[in-house]
Amino acid sequence: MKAKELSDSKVPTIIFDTKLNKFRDKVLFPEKLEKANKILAESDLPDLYYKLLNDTNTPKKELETVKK
Amino acid sequence: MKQAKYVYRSEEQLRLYKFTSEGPKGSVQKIVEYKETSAKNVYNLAFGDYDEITQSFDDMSITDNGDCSKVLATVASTVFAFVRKYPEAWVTASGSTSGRTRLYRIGITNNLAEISEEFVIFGYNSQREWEQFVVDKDYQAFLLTKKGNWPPL
Repeated sequence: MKAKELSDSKVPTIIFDTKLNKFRDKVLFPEKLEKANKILAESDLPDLYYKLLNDTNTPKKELETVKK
Repeated sequence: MKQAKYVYRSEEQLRLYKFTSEGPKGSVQKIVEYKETSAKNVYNLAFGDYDEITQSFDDMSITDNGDCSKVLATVASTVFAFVRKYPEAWVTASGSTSGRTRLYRIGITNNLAEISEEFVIFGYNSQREWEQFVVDKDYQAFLLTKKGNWPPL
């Protein structure tokens, strides 16, 4: 383990722990992830945001509407 | 966050964090997870108790260790760490019960000034729409991202 100092008070010293690596590919709280995916599927903010952002023809006015 | 928080450990990708809650019920290991969702660049934040012996996770347990604010401040602090690593990420979170989601809302409200310095935050309302977070309004879930990601202009 090694410690990484970050410079502001919002993030304390982080200690890297290689024991946690074994969980990287697992979903520890599957119900929460499922709930999030359900909400994201039925709501359009992130998808619409990216769709519009990736469409270079999107008028600025339309992006302004999305942000509201 | 100016509130007291626990020191935490993380794996090197900064997507998993572990810390120990200390209180009258003893030491309870907590784990915070950031998992990719089906939406691009949107990660789900979830956290709960971690039993190192059985290698099991529980986001429904009531620890009652008298340190709820400190635990929430620690989890909030991992958001700052996570977005330092993934500055374009959006992070969504909800409680395992409506009461816990309300608790998150109170935690956000109590730290709104500080959160708003760096993030824009949305609530998922009863009309199933994301709206910019309004104090004292109930939401089913929350979504935040760095200010530079929103608005997209």
